[in-house]
Amino acid sequence: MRRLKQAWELARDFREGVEDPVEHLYNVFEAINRWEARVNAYISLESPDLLVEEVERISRSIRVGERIGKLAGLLVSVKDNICTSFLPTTAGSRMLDPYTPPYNATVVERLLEEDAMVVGKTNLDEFAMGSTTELSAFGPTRNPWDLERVPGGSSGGSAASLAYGGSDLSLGSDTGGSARLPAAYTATVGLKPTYGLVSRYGLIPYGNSLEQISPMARSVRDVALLLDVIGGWDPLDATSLRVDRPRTFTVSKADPRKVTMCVVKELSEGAEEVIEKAYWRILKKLESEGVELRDEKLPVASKALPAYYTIAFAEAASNLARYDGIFYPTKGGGSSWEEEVELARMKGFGREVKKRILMGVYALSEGYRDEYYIAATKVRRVVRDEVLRMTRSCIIASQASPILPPRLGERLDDPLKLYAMDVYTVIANLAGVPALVQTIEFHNGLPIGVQWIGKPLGEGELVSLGLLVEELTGLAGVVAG
Amino acid sequence: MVECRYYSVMEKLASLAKIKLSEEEVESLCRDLERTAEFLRTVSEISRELEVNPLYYVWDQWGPLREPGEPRTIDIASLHVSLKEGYVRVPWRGGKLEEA
Repeated sequence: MRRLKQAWELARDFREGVEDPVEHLYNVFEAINRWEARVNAYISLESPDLLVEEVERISRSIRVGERIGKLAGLLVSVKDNICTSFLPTTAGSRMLDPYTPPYNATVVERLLEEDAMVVGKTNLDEFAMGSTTELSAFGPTRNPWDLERVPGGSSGGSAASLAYGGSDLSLGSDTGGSARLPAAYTATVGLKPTYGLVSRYGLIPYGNSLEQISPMARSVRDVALLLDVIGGWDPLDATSLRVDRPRTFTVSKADPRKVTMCVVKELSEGAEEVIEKAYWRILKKLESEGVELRDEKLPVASKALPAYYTIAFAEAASNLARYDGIFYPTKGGGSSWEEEVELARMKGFGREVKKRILMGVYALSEGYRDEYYIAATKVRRVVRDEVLRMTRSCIIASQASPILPPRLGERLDDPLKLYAMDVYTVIANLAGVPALVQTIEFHNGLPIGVQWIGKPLGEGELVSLGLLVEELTGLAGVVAG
Repeated sequence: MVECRYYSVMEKLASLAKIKLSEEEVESLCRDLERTAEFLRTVSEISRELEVNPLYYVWDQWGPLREPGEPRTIDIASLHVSLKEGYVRVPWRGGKLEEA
């Protein structure tokens, strides 16, 4: 295990002339050269020449005292379902290979406004449909902490790039845990923001009522730095909340005597023994520091996973209807329009995507809609209301994953085993509230994460608690190797 | 024909979803579909007891997604559309054109 400077420290040191951003860029290149062939975190990488040119411009600006952005000199990796006009955006699918969008997502525009350098586009399960990053048309991503294991998904490429030092910050997306599960498996930090806090304009949609672009980093403070840059109202996204840019970077570490934590029974049991033990150790440690632990129950939690998947499948079926062999790169070669569409979708989509579309069509079809889709949306209301009630007076503590990072292929033969990996994370997506995952311990060289769920727009409180936990664990900024 | 209760359902779904499936895919997907459908159906058991309305937009209590604005009028002449043999040509919005 090594430890790198946190991104916010680097940005500060670049500004003060203590560190050289050009030298830092070459260090990141070296990490990519050393790890990438084995890990496969990136689908595409920016041209080194362009990055060198850009970092030299930033370096000159610093030397002559020109104004530079908050992220000047930092290298950010971006999940490949977020549109960039300067690099292809494939969503991990043959369907979109080699599509290059004509515009940047709002979050990418905001990164560039702050002088961040996008180092590349990261691997993901096709269209973000998966929990392991094995289901990409560009091959699986491996976990830098153990190359025989998965990094979690679907933002596994983003997490892996951070875990080996191939980027300073990363953008993932989180529909049911896709940024948080990889964070738990790679000793990084993932924050799923309040639904509507971060613009989805330019995010290739999968489950649009559930998903948020999510900041990922190697420390809680770095996640806050990135959230403050990408968050806030965007007129280009109809679901964007009319709120100012968040200010979470400057929050202080929580005073434990002022923190109340709801320990929800259903979110605190059912994991492997080593995970449960680590979870209770951190809770007891926090309690000894002065945090108040309150027992709570969420009986509907047992139905959250099927409700989440029903809604996600239904939305996927609708969102992916646009891939018809006409507008995007993969063509069917059919002799009629019907045949063209059917063949393009046969060639372009992978097996899991086809399955989810079929299930979505099933859940929405006449005769089954009430039994599946409507039933799931009712359960969603109960989950949302219960979570809002609890988070009015506490932060919910929860395990992040029921298992340690699985070996490659271990979860692929049974769809229900794959879906069960999200059992603790889908709650926050159903309820729309923010949730942060961070590492609390290592077991046999593998990280174990914990999850904190907050009230709507309560990202600041989660960051504050995360800083306290990070001080107790001492795990900010760790990388593999 | 594969042994799977959902075989005919799956054929219909594939047709509705406009996805052509290969023989191998039909067999394995059918089994997965059967298991997944059983799993998802567990939601309907509890939902019958829930006297609540469906939730489609998570912040419904904060009002609609976007307040309706003033109705806008569109000047057709500004759209640069052209009519040809009964078709309307609209401006291209993305990707490389293979032919003009």
